[in-house]
Amino acid sequence: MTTLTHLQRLEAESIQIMREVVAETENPVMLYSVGKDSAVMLHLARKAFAPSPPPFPLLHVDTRWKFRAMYEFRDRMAEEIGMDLIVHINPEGVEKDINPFTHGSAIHTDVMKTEGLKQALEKYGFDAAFGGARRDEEKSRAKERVFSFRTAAHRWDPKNQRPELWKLYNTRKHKGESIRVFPLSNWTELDIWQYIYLQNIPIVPLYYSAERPVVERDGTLIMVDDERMPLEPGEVPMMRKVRFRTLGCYPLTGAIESEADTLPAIIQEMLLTNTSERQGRVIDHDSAASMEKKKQEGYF
Amino acid sequence: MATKHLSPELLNERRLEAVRLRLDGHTVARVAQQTGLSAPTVSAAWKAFREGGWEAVPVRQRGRKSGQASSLGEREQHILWRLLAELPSSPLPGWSSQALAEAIAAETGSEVSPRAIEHWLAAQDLKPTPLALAGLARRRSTPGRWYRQQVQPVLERVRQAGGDVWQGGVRVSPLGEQPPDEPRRYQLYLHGKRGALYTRCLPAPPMAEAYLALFERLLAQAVGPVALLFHGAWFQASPEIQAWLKHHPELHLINVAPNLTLGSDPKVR
Amino acid sequence: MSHSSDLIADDIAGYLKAHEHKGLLRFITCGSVDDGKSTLIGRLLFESKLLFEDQLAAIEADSKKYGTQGTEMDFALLVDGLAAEREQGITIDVAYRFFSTDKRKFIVADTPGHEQYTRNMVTGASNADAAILMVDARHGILTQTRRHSFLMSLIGMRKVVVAINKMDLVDYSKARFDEIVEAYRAFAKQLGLEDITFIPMSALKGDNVIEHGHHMPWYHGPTLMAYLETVEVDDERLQRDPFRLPVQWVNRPNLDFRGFTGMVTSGTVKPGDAIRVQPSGKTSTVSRIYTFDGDLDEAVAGQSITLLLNDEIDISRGDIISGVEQPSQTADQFETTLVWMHDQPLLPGRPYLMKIGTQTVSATVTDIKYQVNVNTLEHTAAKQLDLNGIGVCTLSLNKAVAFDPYRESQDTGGFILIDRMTNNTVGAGMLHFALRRSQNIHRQHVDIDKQARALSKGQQPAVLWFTGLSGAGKSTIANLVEKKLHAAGQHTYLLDGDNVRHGLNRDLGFTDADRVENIRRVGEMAKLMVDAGLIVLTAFISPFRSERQLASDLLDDGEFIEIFVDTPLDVAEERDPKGLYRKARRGELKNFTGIDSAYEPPESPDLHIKTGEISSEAAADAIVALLRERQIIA
Repeated sequence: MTTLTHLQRLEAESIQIMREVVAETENPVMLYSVGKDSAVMLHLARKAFAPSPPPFPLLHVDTRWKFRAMYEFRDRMAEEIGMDLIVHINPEGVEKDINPFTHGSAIHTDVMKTEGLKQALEKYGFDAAFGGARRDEEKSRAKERVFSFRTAAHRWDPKNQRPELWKLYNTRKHKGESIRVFPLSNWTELDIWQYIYLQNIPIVPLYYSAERPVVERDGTLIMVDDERMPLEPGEVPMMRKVRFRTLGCYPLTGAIESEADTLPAIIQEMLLTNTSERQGRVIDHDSAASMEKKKQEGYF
Repeated sequence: MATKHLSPELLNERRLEAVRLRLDGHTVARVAQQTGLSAPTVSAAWKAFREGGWEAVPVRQRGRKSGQASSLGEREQHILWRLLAELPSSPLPGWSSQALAEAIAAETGSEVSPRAIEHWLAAQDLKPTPLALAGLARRRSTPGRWYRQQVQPVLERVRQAGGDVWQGGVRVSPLGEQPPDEPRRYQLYLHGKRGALYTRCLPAPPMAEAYLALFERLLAQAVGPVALLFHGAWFQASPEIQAWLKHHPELHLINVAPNLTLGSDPKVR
Repeated sequence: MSHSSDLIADDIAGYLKAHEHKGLLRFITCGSVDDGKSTLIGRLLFESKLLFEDQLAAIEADSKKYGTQGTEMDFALLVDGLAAEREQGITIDVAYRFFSTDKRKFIVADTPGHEQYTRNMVTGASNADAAILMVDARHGILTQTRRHSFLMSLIGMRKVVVAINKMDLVDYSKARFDEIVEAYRAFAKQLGLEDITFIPMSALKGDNVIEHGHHMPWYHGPTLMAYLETVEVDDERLQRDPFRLPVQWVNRPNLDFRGFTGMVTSGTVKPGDAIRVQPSGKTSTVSRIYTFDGDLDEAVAGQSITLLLNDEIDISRGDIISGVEQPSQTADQFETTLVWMHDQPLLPGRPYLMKIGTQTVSATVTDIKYQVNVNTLEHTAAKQLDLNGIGVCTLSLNKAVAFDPYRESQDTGGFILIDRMTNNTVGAGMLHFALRRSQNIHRQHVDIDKQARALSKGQQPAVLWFTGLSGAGKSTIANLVEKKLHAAGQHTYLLDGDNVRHGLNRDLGFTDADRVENIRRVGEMAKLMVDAGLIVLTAFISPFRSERQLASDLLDDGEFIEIFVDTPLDVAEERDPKGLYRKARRGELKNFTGIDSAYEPPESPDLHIKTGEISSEAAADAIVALLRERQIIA
């Protein structure tokens, strides 16, 4: 008798989901956000289709405001694995120079991320998109399906989601409709970190503590990642030992002071820390029901 | 449940209770439930006990660290904090313990020894040590290369011109767990000859103005050029500081490259 | 019992090492908030997971505001996120929650006990290794308990815990506990639930949840947590069963590598093992078990693998690779239990898509043997299954599939039904056994075929399918077309709705189910006539897209010509040649299309005739022209 560990079973489930999508949809794509969950999802995709490379491209919906370390890491990964990387930046957003400073996080996210994603899916005709969201991220995600259906207008209709029994996923859809697929639904943050540790999966160095230039904004530490970060008159960024628990647009992502510069230390810090993961995301503070609303609008 | 809302006294009472319960063999979860502390806090208290005994369990209070109770009174301490936020009235680039002792004496009329001030600074975690630079020149490591390429040539030029060499930096003090509602302190510090400390302590991250005041005082007391090895600030991003440096070539500012493990100078400890 | 916080702080490497080997258990909780279900889950989460301080602070604040436990922490608030969602109109749901101890990670499927319980509970239970059934010690076995137990037996739950909760409110009485256990055992026997564990408990006070506590010294069984940490998971039991690998995707990066990917649903496999592929029956042996991290010596149930064989045999998605000695069966007719999950009822005769394992086929319920009342377990006759209805049905497929009886293997015996038009998942089912009837009726081979018959008539056989509201003018136009074709020397036959209902279909009424059957028969008859080489004209309201699709599916490509006779309802009602609209409006006719039954217009008919714009004569000419254009007639 072989007892499979929880990570082996989670891995097998994710792989089964990915193969099902590839077998039953016409033009799948993997949304690659460059974060740790994306790293695990990509690793699982390599396992699912080996020795072939995953039979779909990676799509990075870029906002132009990610950390530089993320861009470097993204390009290196795509090259190493030999997958096509599609980078989409909302051209209207570029034209209007949408940015988190002058337009605020809500508009920036809506235009660059939500609209950008819709544009990219339409432009390339993708009918299924893998995303790295997990059910443990917050209460409202606990009921989210693995296969989440979107209308042709990319809206998520909460009343029209399909029950998922056994390992059976109904992937049928009408022309123009698309599916978001979440192969990591049943993983927790701890599972993700433990899997990265055990499988030696490369992640963006920003997750590890290091001295980085930061300024304080409303009690949040924001990294001065490039010269576009507006400083107050006379402000001098300090070099502090910080790391990031989640990665996004640098002006919207809070750093935490930390000494954790190894994976075990990160896991230790996560287990002993006293605030949950999403607190670092400035985006959450915009409005209380923001997540639910964003999901309906097509943002993950 | 949220320890955030507990006074430090109550928090420490519960931390001690948590350790007692753990010693009785209760699980962390049960102890957390019983004391109303979060599991991580219970765990931290237990860890502190195992490493440092009962004395280590209470959250350390600034100025009340057990065994190091300062001989300074409330009033003196109050004055010290106020002084540290200001520039010294003397032309010093920051407060020395001597200068602080004199300023208190002038204000209160009673004698305070510089040694008592030193103890007090140490208790507040306001006594950073200088970087260990000796021997770096011969090391084959990244810090060694950095020292040979970025530091050594500058220091040699400055010394040849009869100038002074200083070290300094900016940091947040103290790091790690601390009682809630206590503001962080941002410490500017300089180490002169033989590691003598000059410092200021601000309630917010220092602005360009504070750095420039420090630089100007350094230049004012020097006969020749000044080399300053500085850690903890990202001057490249500050147009004010860049402009000032351009007009003051006699200050040779060397930023300590980030993420170098240099250690502190053992001689000064 | 909990995460060893000490180990985390002192020796993170040791902690990680220990947690690499944790297992995984999925379980479902059944019961309502009144039974203390949320309190129980909340306590499990709290006791075994390091809750974050901001979460705890939020709950603490909520406890003061909404809690039912005075100043005590209300654990139920940890899990009751569903109320708000219901207000938003989100109908479902199964919520999944996670916690872990040193021994296992747990995934809890939590279903609210409201009116959608059947669908939700069956969904949540379908993936669960074990179920916790909550019983309030004060009330004992209730209708709800029976209902939940029946659903658990239906889904084949192997491990059931009956948590007799609120023992604190019956003075921790052993007599009361024994009484409930006895009553439940008698009832469970009928259902065939076998492995049942009874635990007296107080979720609120914590007795027998994590630790035994001191209130019930008479209880010597496991605490709930001890049970959950040790109960056998399905994957382990399934390893003892025969090997099954439903093929998901064939991986063929180059000519030298042909890997069959999928999840092992039962048994184990090693290189060298002999296998049989179903439904084809071909055999081979395993050469390699390939993975990204290197070849495996053995794979077991629950693993996703890539299998390579020693022989080049034809295998594609949907096939099942089995151990050669005990292969899966194949059949195209089954007795099944169906759970209906959609507002639109199950209609016998209507073709649905069936997904079983990795196969998708067309399936029709040919007979509902009986419906089961979930509360009383009574069997009643039924013509259709409504939302949350459960029925034992005969299911007929358009081709044979590989399967195992559900009782033996959930993953190769459980299936979903998908509506062909809306693509919704409308039902879930369990295959019990194959019905062999159709296998013994072989098709008779004939020498003269459709083509030969058509050739002698100088035409291509076809069906002109007229659809539209009653009184739209279908029969009028069809009649005109037939006259024109007849005059041109074509061989035709007109099947008219009213005429057919006087003969072949006189046993059918006008319910949705009967309408479906009506059209199925007409479709089959039209097919026979096309086989005879005729041009068939059918004039039926045929209101549902899926039945027109069914009729179309029976024929070869190009033979089905859909003609939409489009007359607005008010015009048709104004004409009312048979006086039917008036009757319907007076309520004397039920289920009348356009009045109290829907008409689904064709989305892309071959010909769209707007009777308001052209005359019947012109319409008939247009149809004849279309037949020429399509070379049906010369």
